Amino acid sequence: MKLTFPHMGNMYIPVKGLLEYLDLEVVVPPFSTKKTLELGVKYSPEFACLPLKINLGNFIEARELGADTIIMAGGVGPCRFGLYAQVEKEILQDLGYDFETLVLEPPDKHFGQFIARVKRIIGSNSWWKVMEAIKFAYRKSYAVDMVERKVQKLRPLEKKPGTVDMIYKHALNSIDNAQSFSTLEEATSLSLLKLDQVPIESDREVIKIGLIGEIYTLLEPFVNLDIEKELGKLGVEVTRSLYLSEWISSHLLKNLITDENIKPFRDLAKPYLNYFVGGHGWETVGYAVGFSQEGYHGLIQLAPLTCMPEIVAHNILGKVKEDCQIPILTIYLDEHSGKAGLITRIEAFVDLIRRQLETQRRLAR
Amino acid sequence: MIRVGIPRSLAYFKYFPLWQTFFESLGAKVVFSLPTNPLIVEQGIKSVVDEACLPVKVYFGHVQYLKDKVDYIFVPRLVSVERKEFTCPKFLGIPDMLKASIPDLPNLIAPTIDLTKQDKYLWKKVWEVGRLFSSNPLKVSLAWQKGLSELSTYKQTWLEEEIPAQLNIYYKPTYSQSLKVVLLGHEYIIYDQYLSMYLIEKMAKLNIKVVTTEMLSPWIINKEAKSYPKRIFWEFSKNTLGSVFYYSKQEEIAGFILMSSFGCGPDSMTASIIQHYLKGVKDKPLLNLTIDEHTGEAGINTRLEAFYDLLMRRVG
Ligand code: SF4
Ligand code: SF4
Repeated sequence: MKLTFPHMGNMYIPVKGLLEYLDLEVVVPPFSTKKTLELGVKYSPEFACLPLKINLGNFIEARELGADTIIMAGGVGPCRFGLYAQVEKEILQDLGYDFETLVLEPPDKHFGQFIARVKRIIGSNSWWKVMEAIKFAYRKSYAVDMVERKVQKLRPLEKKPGTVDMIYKHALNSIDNAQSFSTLEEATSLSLLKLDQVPIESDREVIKIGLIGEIYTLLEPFVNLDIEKELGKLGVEVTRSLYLSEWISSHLLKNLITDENIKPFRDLAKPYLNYFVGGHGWETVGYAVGFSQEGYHGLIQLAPLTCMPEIVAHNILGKVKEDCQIPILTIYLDEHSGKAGLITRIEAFVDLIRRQLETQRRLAR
Repeated sequence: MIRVGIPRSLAYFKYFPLWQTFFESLGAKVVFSLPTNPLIVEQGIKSVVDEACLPVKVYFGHVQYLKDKVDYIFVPRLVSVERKEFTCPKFLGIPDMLKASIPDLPNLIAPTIDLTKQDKYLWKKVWEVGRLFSSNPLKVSLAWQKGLSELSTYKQTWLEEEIPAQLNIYYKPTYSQSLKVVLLGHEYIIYDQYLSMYLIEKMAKLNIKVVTTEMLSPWIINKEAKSYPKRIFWEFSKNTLGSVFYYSKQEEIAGFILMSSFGCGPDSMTASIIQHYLKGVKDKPLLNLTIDEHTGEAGINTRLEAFYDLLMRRVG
């Protein structure tokens, strides 16, 4: 049995950590590339949302490396994500690929069957070992996030462009390679230390932008065209509404672990949005208000084209923008999005923010 | 008299007899917006973000139409009308979206109907709305009962394979010898003549007998939908798939037409499931029609006629 799973940014690090901790054989799909996307687009329904298409591409590429079993998260509505696993399975079947799938979701009908399938995959591992493995995976995701938050702070300040990202890449590798709790800790602190030593220009004016929106487009640099790196080059410090470990703790571990970084988005979203709308639409609106209260200079919303919860949020953000007096840029991404277009748009956006700051300063004088 | 506006769009097609009777029994005057027309569409497009689907844009247009003509507009937040089933995420956000983008709205009556986990609390919602018109719970309850009975008459008409007269749709084929084709799609698309570009009338003219999801009893639909390995958590998609599973086993059914809006999330998944399923069924072709604000009628006509020819060749 060779296990695989879809990519979503750095997600592969904890997932691989989890499975390897249990001595299971893992095939990490090749990182998403243009080829992955092309494969996905070719075989997916035309109007499916972008994450589904890339998932599918990941599976096809993993298949070529011998994977035969898929593990992925699921859901029971109200958004499309809950049907991904089933629909992807059907498409793969039509292509002649027979995968076994294990969908992590609240089992609807057959709880026993679900447990049986989990057991089949974990084999002779004890439940205690499984708990340890989950803890290990969570720690990995937390380590990735700590490093990433620091990277986001340093990018706009580094003296020599590219230094931070080079260290970041190494850091991810060393976290990924850590096989035990102790090596993981070592790798993390070493990476943080290295980042602390990056030469910076601390008097540079940094623009703070909150990145909000749909999870996949937030976490996967391949689909968001490396927007964070590009913003860093423009002197922007980025904070996202969503980090990997937060999603794992809230979505997969049902909040067993509390995280001080998670904002009370439901309260913040009032009175603009008073109900869940699937996906991360509620978070998007809540974090928009939260970030602007914290004095962020601007917000960028990312979403796959046709993403329903984000369209709802987008419409509501118009009002937030007005009331909170904060510039907001919404960017929809699909298979036709290009980097040049993205850069033009964010450059114009950052320019606008800088000009506004300049005017404010002049008025204050 | 208090005037309550009801947009002739989205859930209207499924529930208007209930809503109308309920409000009228409580002494209100019900004002429906006009059937969708180019002006309404234009107004709608202006009031909501470009990326929204056409039906949502049109809904906004209907609300714009009613805005200055009534005291209240009824825009329920329909989260879930059956256990563990949802409507579309966009339905979930409708009242908030309206408030964010249309200034100077009259009061909205926007009860949240979420029966995902419990259905007992429906009465609470009925009372929440009824209270605006009467302080007498008994009167409100009677109005609700009356509304429900109107709704059940309406539904009964469907079950007799008729399209209720209130919808003003000319759907009867000219000759009795006709092809039977299943038309799939959201009620607010296929029964909205402007949005569907008179698709049902066109089919009737081609001597096609139209059957739809609404013409099947919920009992059959639920039974069929259960055979699918994954719970279909969108009520609409469940109904569509349930009817595809059922109708595809009926010999007299010549084929399927699915009409959806460009960018519709649920339909993108439903369509994929239908295509996969029909691959395993002999002789039930499927025609996919997608509409948006730029769709030309000529294109739809050509595709419908080509599909008709295909079906005719098959029945020989
Ligand atoms: S949240 Fe957006 S991207 Fe995710 S399943 Fe829903 S529509 Fe697709
Ligand atoms: S179901 Fe489709 S057409 Fe209807 S509101 Fe949702 S996205 Fe739009």
